Amino acid sequence: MNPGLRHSMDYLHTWAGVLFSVLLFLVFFMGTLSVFDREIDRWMMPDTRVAQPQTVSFDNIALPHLRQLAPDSKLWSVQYPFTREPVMRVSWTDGDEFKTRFVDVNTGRLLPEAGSKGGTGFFFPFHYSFHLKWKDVGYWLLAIVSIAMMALLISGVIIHKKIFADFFTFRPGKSTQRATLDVHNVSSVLLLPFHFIITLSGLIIFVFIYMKPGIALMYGAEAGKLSQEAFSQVSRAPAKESGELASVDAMVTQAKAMWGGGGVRRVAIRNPQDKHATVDVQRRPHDRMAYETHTVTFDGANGAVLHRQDGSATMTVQRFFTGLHMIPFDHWGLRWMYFAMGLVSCVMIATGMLLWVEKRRVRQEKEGRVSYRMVNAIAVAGTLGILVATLVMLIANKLLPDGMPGRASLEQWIFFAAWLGTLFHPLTRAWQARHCRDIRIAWREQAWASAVLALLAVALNAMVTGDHVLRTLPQGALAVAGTDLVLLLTAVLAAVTARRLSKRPLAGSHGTASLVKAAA
Amino acid sequence: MSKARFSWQSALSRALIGALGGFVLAMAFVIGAAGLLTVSGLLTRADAVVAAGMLAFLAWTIAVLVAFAAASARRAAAWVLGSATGFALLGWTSLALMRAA
Repeated sequence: MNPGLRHSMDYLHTWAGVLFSVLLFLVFFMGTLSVFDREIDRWMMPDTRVAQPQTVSFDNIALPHLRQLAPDSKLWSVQYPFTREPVMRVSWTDGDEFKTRFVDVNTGRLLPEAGSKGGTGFFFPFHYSFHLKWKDVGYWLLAIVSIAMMALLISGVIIHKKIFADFFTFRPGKSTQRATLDVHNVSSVLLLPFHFIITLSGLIIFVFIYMKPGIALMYGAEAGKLSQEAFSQVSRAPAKESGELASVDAMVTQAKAMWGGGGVRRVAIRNPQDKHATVDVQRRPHDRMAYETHTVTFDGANGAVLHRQDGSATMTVQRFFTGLHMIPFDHWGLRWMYFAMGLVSCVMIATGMLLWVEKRRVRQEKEGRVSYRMVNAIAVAGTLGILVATLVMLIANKLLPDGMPGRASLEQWIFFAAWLGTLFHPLTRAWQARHCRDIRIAWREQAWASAVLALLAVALNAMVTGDHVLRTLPQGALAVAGTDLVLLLTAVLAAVTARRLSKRPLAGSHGTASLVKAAA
Repeated sequence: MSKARFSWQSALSRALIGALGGFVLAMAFVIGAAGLLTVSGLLTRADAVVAAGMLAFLAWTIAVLVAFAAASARRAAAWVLGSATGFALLGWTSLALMRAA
C-alpha cells in the first residue's frame, strides 16, 4: 500500500480519535446501557416492579385514565406491556410536551409519578441526542461523531500493516503502551463488523433528519409528504365535530387477525374526541430483525379499517438496519451479546485515548510540555468519569425523597455535576507537584470510586426498596437482579483495575524534578 | 519513512472539506441518485430518496477519507466538490425530466 496514504490515514486516525473519543465513548457507553434500558427503568422506578399481566384491555384500563388525564389532547399513545416492561405506558401531548404515566394493568391503578427519567428517559436519549434538543443540535453532533467513527474504522484498517497477526496478539506482560496497543487492536479487529454496522445503522435510523436538505430539493414544497409516502401513513384532518370512540379492543383483535399473530406494541389515537379520530395499532416486532410495526389504521368512530401499512423493499431495508441497531426482537442471548460488544467498543475507544497519552508522555516529559496531561484528564473524565457519574446518578435515585418536585430533573443535573467533578479531579491531580509524576493516580482513584459507588448503589437499592439479589433472583425479578449483578461485577472489575494500576510500574518515567518544573 | 504531518491550516481545511464538503457531496448524491432511480422508473420517489439517503452516508465517509488522502487540500476540495457538482447536475437533469414528463 502507498506509504503516503498510510501516513495520511494515520494522521486522520490519531487526531480524529483524540477529538471525538470522548463523544464516541459517551455514545457507545450510553448505547450499551440502553440495551437494558427497560431493566434499568425497573431498577430506578421501583413502583413499576409489578407482575406481568395476563390480559390487557385498552377500553377498560387505558381509556378511563386518558379521559381523565388528557381530555383535550390531540394525541393519545399507549405502549402495551411486554416481557421487559410489565406496566402500560400511557402518554399524551400537552401543547409541545409529551407526558407519560405508568399503569399497573393487573389492578388498573395509575402509578405515582416515577420521579426518574430512568434508562428510557435519560440514558437512551443521551445515546442519540446528548440531551441537546435545540434545533436538533444533538442529532447533528451525533451525525458528525458517527461519520468520524466510520472514518476512524476505515483509516484504522488502512494503517494496519499486519491486521491478521494483530487479531491474535495480546501481550499483557509487556509495557503499558504495548499492552494498551494490543487491547486496542484486538478489540477493534475482533469486532470490526459490529463497530461498522452499529455506526452505519445508527446513521440510517435518522436518514429522514440528516437528508432533509436533499429531500427538500427532491420534493420541493411537498417535503412533508416523504414520510407519508415512505411509511404509507394515513393522515386525516379532524372534522371539528365531537365523536365517540368505538371499542379499541375490538380494533386490536382485528389487527391481530390481519397480522396472523403477534402482540401489540403501541396504540396511538389522533384527535381522540373528534368524529374523524384515527386509531393506529402497531405490531410488536418481537419475532424479527426488522423494526417493522405493520401498523393498521382504523376509523376511531366506527372501527372500519382505513389503511394497512406494508413497507416497500427499500423501507424494509431501512427498518432492517433500524432493527439491527435497536434490538426489538426477544432474544436474551443476543441482547447480552450486544451489551458485551458495546462494552468492547468502549474499551476500544478508551484504549485509543490512552495510547495517545502514553505515546506522548515520555517525549513531552522531556520537553517540559503538559498537553498530554490535559488529554489524560479529559480521557479520565470521558471514560471512567462517565461511569462514576452514572453510578452517582443511580445512588441519587435511591437517596432523593419520593414525590419531591423536579426529582427527575434533579437526578439528571446530579449526573452532570458529578461528571464535571470527574474532570476537575484529574486536572487537580495533574498539577499537584506530589502527584504529577504518575498520571495514573486519577485513573486509580476514579476506579476505586467506581467500585465503592457500585457497591453503594446495590446496598441502597436493597435498603430503600427491600429488593436484594437473594430475594429478586428466587422471585424471578430478573430486571432488578440483573442490574444489581452487573453493578456488583462493575465493582469487582473496577477494584481489580485499580489494584493493577497500583502495582504496575510506569515505564520510561524520568526524574520528579523535571516534572515538578513542568507542572510549575 | 517520515510520518505525514499537516500544518494546522492544512489539517483544518481538510477537516472542513471532509465534514462540510462531505455533507454537500452526500446531499448532491441523494439528489443525483434519487433523481436517476425515479426517472428511470426503478423506484418510487420516496423509495429512491430513502435508498440514496442510506448510501449517502458512505459517500460522506469517503469524502472525509479523500480529504486527508489527497496530495493537497486544494486537490481534496476539487475531488469532493467536483463529485458533488457531478451528482447535482445529474439530479438537476433528472428533476427536469421528471417535471417535463
